[in-house]
Amino acid sequence: MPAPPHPPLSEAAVRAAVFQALRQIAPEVDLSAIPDTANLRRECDLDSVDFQNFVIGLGKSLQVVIADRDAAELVTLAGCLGLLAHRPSATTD
Amino acid sequence: MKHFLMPTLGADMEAGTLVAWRKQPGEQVHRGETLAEVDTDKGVIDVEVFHDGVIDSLLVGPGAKVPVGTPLATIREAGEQAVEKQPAEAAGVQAKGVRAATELPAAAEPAAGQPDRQARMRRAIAAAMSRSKREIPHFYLATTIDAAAAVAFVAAQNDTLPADERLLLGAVFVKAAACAVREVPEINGYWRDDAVELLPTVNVGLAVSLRGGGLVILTLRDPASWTLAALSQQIRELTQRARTGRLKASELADATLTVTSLGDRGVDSVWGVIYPPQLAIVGFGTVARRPLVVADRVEARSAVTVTLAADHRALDGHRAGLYLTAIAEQLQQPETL
Repeated sequence: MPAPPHPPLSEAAVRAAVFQALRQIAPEVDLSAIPDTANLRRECDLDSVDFQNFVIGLGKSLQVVIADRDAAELVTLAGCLGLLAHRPSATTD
Repeated sequence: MKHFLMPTLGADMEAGTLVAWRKQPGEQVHRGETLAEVDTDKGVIDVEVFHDGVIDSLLVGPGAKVPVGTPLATIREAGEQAVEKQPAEAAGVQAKGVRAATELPAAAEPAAGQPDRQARMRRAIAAAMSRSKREIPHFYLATTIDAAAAVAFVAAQNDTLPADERLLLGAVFVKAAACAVREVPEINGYWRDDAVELLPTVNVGLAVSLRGGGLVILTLRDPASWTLAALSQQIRELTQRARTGRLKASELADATLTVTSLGDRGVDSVWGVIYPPQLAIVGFGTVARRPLVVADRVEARSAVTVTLAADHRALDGHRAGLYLTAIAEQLQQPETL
């Protein structure tokens, strides 16, 4: 049975999912103060384990598959928006 | 009848405070279930039970601070009869000055605030590390290893795996350190009472920094027997819980060899301080592109500097060197890990 079509992800949805995933890992960081182009790993002090958890959390909440080779793009909010916004959710890659 | 004890979570823990009971007398418990919450220098942890049975009596109430090894409860195993209930007397015998659980107010909130926990953790680290440097004659070895095979292996695996099953390079390092013990078993164990006590199973203690300061040593039980995918998953889950949630006592106890990796922080190498009573600590630095000689030509390759600090009372440089060599060999064949 083909999966039902999903509307593309909005920028607001991606931004909210990024914040939600970061809050799970770095609850003490003021996310509103982070510019879109800032390196999230540096701003939120994420090590490689945290970053994998961030990618997992983001994929789960947006119901998208994030390829490992694309994960490095998710290191900035702008990169997250570029990779994930306007992309249909629930894709299977 | 089995006793349920205040656990010890390492050489630096002397006592813990019972925060709350999760089970009451008469309730059935199963091995691995959380029975109590205990406040320690490492934060509030869940303490699991190691036997199936029925709670007979609780010997310590919420708020009581007792030394490690103190009986906290008694558990009846299958077939055992309930003991005549004399809670006040039982409590008096088992833990002096502690009233029976039934007489104590229910679940007091832990008094431990964040700054207090930070200060206590700092003191515990200070005590363990000072003791280590005072008592253990450390010696140090290092080798720079070609990490290209390990890096390529992880990338190739992760290319096809869903996000929550992907491998961590750190898991490859942990498993290589554990498997290399087969070649040099005298690296794995404790120094106690002026003698070496070697252990058959390698439980790797993984040093994990906490947000805002401090660190905990997570226990990865027998990682040599885990797949890299399962080990990666376990490291992700435990790290997340160490930093933002809660750990279980079994996740902080019984490590036999510590691994520390500061690779994410961009340092070339890390020279660890041995966590007593262990015999050694392995340090992995940043994996970076470096000039290495391959087939008589200089090439840019992924490389990692691995260090070892070992207890000279327990072993000598020759065997310690062979251990580092064994790690290097494991990392050249990541597909066998």
